[in-house]
Amino acid sequence: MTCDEFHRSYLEGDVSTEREAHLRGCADCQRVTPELDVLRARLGDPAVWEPPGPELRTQVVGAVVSAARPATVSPSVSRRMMRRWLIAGAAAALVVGVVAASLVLIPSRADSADWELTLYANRASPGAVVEVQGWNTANGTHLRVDVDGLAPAGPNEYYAIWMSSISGQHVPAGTFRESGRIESWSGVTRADFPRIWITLEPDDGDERLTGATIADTPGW
Amino acid sequence: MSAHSLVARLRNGDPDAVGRLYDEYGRRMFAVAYKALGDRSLAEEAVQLTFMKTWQAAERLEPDVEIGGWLYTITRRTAIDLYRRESRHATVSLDAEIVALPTTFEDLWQVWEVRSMIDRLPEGERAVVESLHYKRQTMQETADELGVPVGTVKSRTHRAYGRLASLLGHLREETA
Repeated sequence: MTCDEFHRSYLEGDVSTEREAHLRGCADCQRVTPELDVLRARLGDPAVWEPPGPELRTQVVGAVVSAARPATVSPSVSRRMMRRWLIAGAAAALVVGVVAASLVLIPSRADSADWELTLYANRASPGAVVEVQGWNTANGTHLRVDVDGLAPAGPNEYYAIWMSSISGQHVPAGTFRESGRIESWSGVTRADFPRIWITLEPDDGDERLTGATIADTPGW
Repeated sequence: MSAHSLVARLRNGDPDAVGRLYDEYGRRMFAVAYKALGDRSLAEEAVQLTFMKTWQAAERLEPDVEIGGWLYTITRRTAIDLYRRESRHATVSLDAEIVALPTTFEDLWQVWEVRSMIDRLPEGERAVVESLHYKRQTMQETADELGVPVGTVKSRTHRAYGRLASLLGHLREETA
């Protein structure tokens, strides 16, 4: 038995006389055995395997974009970087849920929206009503999405709100799992990203747009 | 993209660098925070705060900083701060239990390192290791779940253990 074979055998939990014989005669493997024990124990540790929520990346990036950092970079450079980043489709400028609540001033009910839109639900969501209100801000768009009559997402799914440009660039603008009011924020404008739509996405850690359309802007 | 160029972009205020850092280190940061806090939403808060601190401090980062180690340290400290915050706001019944961080620095370092090792496995090998060790499924159950023959599970397991063993050596490293 070689040292590599011993390592594999140890991690597999096999107990054989051949393995024990190798260990007795191999100082290198005797040294590495405590680390193999740690590795084997940690491979069963839930902390190592539990995944973060699929929206965390978007929240992290959105929060960073929203945060005012005393940068030395000129505003024009920042805007150029932002544009390149958006075009790359890298989930630009999004704050949802808790982030939105903590970082964005949410308009009160009395504030009239800059625009309103009713999405049409397709055959995958019969009876669903999705109304969107938007406020144009200096840093993007605040969205208030009221969803009614939409079945709750399954345990391995979630609904995603998107803003898309005419050229087909998609920017995530929030997630939710069931009907109700969703307050979210996107770093892009309705003028540049006129299409607002909702998809049902698999909760598989892939934040790209892959799911089925649930509701869409009329005319798209 | 190299860690060095990522740090350079971070220092220049490029938000895309944060996304790339998340892709590289986010999962292991969450693992450390989850180990320390035992709560998913708190762990996610710790990760988000860590990135905010990183973003705010980026201009002061040394160009050749070992960004992984830096993120580990800030994640751990942030998780400890959150733990203390939650302890202060805990109910009376919880106060008796929350007297100190239940995990040691060694625990957190091991979780960071092992998650790092797992991140380096090909997806197919990672899936079988997760099934066998975390879900505690048999080879047959793993094969059924992944839709592959048992022989494939065995060969992937064999290769995965070989890779993991080759990555050993950091588990006893001094904690930061």
